[in-house]
Amino acid sequence: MAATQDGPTLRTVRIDPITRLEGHGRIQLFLDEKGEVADAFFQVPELRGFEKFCEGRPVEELARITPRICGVCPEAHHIASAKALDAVFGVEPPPAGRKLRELLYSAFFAGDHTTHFYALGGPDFVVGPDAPKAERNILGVIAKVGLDAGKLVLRQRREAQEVVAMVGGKAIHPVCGLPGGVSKPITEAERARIEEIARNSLEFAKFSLRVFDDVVLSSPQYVDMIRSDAYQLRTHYIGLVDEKNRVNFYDGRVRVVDPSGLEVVRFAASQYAEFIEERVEPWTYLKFPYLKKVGWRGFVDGAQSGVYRATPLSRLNAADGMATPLAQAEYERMYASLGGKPVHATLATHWARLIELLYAAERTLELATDPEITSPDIRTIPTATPGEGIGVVEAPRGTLFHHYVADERGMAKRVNLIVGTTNNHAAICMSIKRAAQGLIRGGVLPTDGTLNRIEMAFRAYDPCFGCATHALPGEMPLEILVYGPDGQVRQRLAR
Amino acid sequence: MIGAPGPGRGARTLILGLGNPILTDDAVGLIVAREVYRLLVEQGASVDLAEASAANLDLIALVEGYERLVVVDALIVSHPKPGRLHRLELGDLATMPTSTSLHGLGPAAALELARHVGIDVPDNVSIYGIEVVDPYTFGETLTPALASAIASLPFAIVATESRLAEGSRAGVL
Repeated sequence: MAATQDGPTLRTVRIDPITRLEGHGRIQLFLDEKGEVADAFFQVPELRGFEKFCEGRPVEELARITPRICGVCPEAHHIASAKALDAVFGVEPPPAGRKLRELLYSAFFAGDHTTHFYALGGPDFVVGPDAPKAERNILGVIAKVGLDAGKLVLRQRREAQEVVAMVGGKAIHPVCGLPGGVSKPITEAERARIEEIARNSLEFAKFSLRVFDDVVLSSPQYVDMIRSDAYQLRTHYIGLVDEKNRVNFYDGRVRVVDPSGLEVVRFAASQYAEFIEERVEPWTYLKFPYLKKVGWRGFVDGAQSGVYRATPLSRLNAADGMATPLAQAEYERMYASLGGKPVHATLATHWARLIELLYAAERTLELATDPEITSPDIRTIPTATPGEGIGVVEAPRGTLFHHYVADERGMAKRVNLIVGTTNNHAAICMSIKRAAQGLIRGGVLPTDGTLNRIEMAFRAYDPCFGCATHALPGEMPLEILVYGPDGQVRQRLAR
Repeated sequence: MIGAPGPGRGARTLILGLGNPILTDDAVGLIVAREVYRLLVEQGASVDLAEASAANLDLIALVEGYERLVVVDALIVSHPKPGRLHRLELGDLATMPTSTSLHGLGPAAALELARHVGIDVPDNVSIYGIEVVDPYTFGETLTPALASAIASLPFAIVATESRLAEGSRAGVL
């Protein structure tokens, strides 16, 4: 890594691997001789050879292959892939086909956001950022919030998977999406059960927002923390919006707003290459997408920098509102509480995520009670010669693009994906650096609590580079190394 | 001794293969688990087989109702000897660096959570980790070094589990 060549005048604080992160991540903080943070790097190993793996296979198989990239959000890949295949084959799904996909997707979204709040992001707040690591987990949350909360979380997860299995044919790795629609309709009995689940999910979302109110918003210490400079980043924001510029997870236009909240552009998925460019840096395999027309100015924020974010908070910032009534009320309350739009406070992403959870639950219920949802007219059979197609959805962790090119026999020739977390890669690096600079005082060795507060800056993104192996890690050291100016390890903290 | 069917399930023991079938060596847990299952069925044991690509909260629904859980997974170490087999218990996982890598909740925490809220999950848990070379490249075949080193693993796992089952109160597989 280039930075280590800067030599013995730098001390290194390494947080490795990041706790509660999918895959293996590494944060390295480089301290200068005064003990101030000179630079910060965030690295993850990247999987290799995906494009090559896909080339030459029947393009419609990608809807089953791409979900295998990741053990966490296969549903997002499946739906993005089905939409890309619609475009490859030049077909529009009939209304029921489209609604069934969105129904599956909304239920999945509610389950996924639940995991983040209760197991990943929430423990820092509910249990406390300085609590021992062993308690900063979902069990710690339950100890504070109550045993019933634990039961509700597990029911929410289980029922989300039940909907995915009913609509998608299979839990976790759905198989329903085909070019032109879905493979099977749902029965009235299934619809009724999904409606029941959606009502549970809605109550759960309301409960979760009350927990957030009680634990976070009623605490001046946490509100100050959310508003503090260490966690601010003034970037562009992107997110899918419907025709009224309201947040949509399944479809719409990608809307881009600048750091003052003004619309920069609103583009269709098929135009993404005109607006998004991917930058390569020498110290990591993972790319850094940025807004092409604004340009890359390095790892800096502001209106002149093409760095953008695609997170729950970004989606709310990029939209004019929510399409369901309860989520809209919460949306208004959040912006009123945090001083108007857009909100640049990275930690407010947790609030935005719960508002999205509420929207996902409301939308699941709307679709489950839609008279058309049990229609057997679920697929338009493709007849055109396959070609090129781009599909987009909002994945829980950011806008997800699937871009396929097929030959005239329908074999995949080129495959390019921009996955959720990758959109935020530059911003994650910047957030870590800013938090480290704001929280580490020169000459004072950081405490476990300080390092956890730095981790909170990126945990807000719900980062998932776990489009990666999930294999058990063995001998990788879990430690923080502090190097003295002579390059020797001065302190080793086991985590 | 053959186990009687568990409550709501066809068996008392679940063999769970973890892995990604299209990530080269990451698939080894799936491949070996299938073989373990086949051997146990041949012996007349009462077992089920399941596969998963991540052991997160959804693990609970998968293992609920079983008395014994046998997990087979790939293991990443810094200097791998392909195919070297490790047997771990939940307690070992809790102290491993990325026991939390499974999106927020390792299997140990997931099962503890389940017990905490009164869900019936297995008390006997064995986790077998197989050292691998390349779990980072997309591909449908194991690396040759690993492929040639796994034939004996299912037998080793079955022998170990049989011995453990005899020693435990349940006495069944």
